[in-house]
Amino acid sequence: MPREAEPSLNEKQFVIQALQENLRLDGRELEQYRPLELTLGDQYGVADATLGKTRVLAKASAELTVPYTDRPLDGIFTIATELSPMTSPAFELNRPTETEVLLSRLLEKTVRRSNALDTESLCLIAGQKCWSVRVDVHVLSHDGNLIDAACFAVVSALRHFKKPDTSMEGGVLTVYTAAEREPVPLSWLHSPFCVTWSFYGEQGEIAVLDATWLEEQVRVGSCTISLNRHGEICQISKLGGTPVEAVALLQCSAVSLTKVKEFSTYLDEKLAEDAKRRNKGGLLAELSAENDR
Amino acid sequence: MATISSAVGEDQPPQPSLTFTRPVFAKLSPHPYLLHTLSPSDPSVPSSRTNGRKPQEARKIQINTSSLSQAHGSALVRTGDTTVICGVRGEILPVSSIPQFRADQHKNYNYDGEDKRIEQGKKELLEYDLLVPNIELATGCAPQFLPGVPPTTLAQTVSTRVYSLLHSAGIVDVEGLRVWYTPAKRDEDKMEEDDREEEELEPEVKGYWVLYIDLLFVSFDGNPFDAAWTAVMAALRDTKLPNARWDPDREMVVCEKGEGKRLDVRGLPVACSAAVFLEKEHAEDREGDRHWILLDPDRQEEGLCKEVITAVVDCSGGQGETKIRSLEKQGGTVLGRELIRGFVGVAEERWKEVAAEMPQ
Amino acid sequence: MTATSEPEAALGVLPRADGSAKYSHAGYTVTAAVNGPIEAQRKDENPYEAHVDVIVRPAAGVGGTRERHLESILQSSLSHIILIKNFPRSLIQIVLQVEDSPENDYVNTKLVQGNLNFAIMPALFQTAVLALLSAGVPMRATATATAVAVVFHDGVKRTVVDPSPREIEIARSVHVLAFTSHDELLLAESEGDFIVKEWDEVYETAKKICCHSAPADDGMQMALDEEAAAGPDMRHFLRSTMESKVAADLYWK
Repeated sequence: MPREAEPSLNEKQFVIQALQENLRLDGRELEQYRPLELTLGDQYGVADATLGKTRVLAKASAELTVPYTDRPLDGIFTIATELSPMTSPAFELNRPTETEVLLSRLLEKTVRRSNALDTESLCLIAGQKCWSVRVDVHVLSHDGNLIDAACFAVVSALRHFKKPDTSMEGGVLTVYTAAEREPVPLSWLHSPFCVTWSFYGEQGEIAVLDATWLEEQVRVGSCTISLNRHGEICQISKLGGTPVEAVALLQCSAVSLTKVKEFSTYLDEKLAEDAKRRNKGGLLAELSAENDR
Repeated sequence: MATISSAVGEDQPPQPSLTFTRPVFAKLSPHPYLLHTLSPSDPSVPSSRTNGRKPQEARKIQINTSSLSQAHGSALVRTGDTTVICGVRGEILPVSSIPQFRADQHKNYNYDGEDKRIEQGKKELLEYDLLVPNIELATGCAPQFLPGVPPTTLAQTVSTRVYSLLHSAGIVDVEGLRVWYTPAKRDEDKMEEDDREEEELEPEVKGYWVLYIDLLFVSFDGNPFDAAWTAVMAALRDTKLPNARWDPDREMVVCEKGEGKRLDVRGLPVACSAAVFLEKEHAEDREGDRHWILLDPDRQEEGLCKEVITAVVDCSGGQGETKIRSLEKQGGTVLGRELIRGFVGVAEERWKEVAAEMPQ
Repeated sequence: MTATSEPEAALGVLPRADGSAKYSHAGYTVTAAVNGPIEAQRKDENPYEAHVDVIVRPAAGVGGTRERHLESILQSSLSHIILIKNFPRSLIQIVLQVEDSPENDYVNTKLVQGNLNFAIMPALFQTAVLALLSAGVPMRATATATAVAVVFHDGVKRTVVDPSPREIEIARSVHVLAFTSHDELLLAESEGDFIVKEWDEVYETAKKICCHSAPADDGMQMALDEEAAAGPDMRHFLRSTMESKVAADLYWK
């Protein structure tokens, strides 16, 4: 498979020098995101997040299964990230690259380990039946800052998602189809989002938000902070790179919080809009179809 | 061409080094070779394929059943050098292990007529995954299958086609796979409450037989689907499941020893495949090109043809028109409407050949 | 519920691929990326022609045997219309990502499904053709595909174009047909229980949808009337999508 072409020396120099003069190639401020857009699908649990030219699609799904023997009281929650050759022909199927491993690790830590989804609520009969919730992350186009876009898409998909309703009667579990009972949302505890900083300069003194693919290729270090709108930090990861002053990082996390609040408000708006759209006659049409049969 | 195909005689002077014997020529340029045998320069010689068959001639089929003693049903099918063995094994799946099981689902189908019952049966087979086919193209059955690699695309494709056809053609009646239980009543209850007896004696499904249908290609020489499907049909018709009943005291399904009941198999669909051989091998323009439809292609012919067709027909209904269970055509544009219609007739002939070989 | 009945498409949706398209019709939404001709892996290299690699990725779960089968069907059909002889020893890669597919409200779907999903095939096929056009890969002909189901309802036989999952569940037979722009039958996949006569009717219906000749200026009114009766006109749709894309790209001229 062909390898991605690296930026030339001139390109690198140009980007770095511009940043030192507080300029970015696309005219943004250093701490400014590209316009974030979210499209929710016709189906529950489909979220398409766009950040400039970066586009990530997340799809949540649920199915009944048997819980793990060592965790009989918990449901199963997995996030699957596989970069397909759609992102770039340099990615091959079944051969994870470093980008892919990093992405899945960070999503795992941010969403799964921060207990954003209450896995205990997914358990139906202890040790016998539980829901297995799965989010598939499909990267359609990669132009930098994959992590923030993917995390936003995953959280949106899970909050939008509804699983089939169930009932327990005398030890007999019944799972209703969507035609019988309206599906129910997941039990969601908090919404963490990732904010990724890229560092430039000899001491990493220039901090930039939402780097593009070209900017990512020339950075000297990066740091991903995951937090929710209440300012609770779920994880911070700075994997190597040039050392950065601790005080600078504190400043970064303060800015991150304002960004996360923006994401959170935007998502709430979108979800409310979608709920309103669905309610318009949608339910009534469904009921009349039911009576036909 | 003629100099090439004439055998090298002993008394002739040594041939120039650029003359090949038939097998060498066939190996070096298979396309012109097959073309030459299909359209011989001498009109008195009939058109035939490299393997000596006529274009519309299939290989003889041999079916042997019950050869595996450990399986509940088995069949060995051989057509030419394609040999496939199929074993069917039933395993009990208690309803408590089916997470998505719905007890009320099959209760009311009896009132809705035969069509609804079949539809419901198909849904149960699919939803609880009661038919599990698996296909292995064993290492060494043909040179292209290497050891230690994941299943080839071919194996996965054939497996999907068998799975889809098993479900869509409704071969197996789900009733034969259900394990029913009618709750017995204690004696005292019987005396006192005779009135309530009827409602309480409602039978319930306690488990299902899951049929694992394993196919192994012992040798592979083209046309895997036809052979695989014939093997599946023969093995299913050969399948005898032991009598199983629900033991309420031990709360499990127990099987009785000895010969069981023969599985109820509906109909006899038979698959018939062909490939289209084109005159020009590397031309982009296909205008006015000659073509031959080669029935039951072997491995070499499959390598030379791109367009393939498979029709699955069932003439077991007796009078009336042939039922088509599946029709798949891909890879080219030679086979249009008329040729496909005609091909259904060819498939009907093949059905008769296979049905005659199928053990009763 | 909110499924679109008219096909919709956008070309060049992915900035980094050579060609891409997003297509939605009958509840299915598929995005495709085409890269090529690019360097082929050693094992796929063919000295006479380009290798066409089709990858189908489901919206949820990992691709299984069903996707492999879909891939092989698409691969053989697309290699026929692409002029593969023009690019020996290279690779044309087509990645199809299913984004949305309609759900059957009467069944709780399982994640891993083995049986073939017929209704998705036209959407995959159409998206692939659009993406190939967008990538400028030379082709012998374009192609259009459609799905038709024969449903018996209360003893009455109906032919349903672009069936919903529920209709497929109760259908007697389901058919997918694809035609090239020269009106040749490129792909025919059918399953269920049917006779030759029924297949003929299905063929006629599908052909009407796929091979509707582009309406001439004077016969516009007549063409519109027919269209209303025969359902969507795929070939015209393909053409108008390309025309509007070209017009948008050349607006500066």
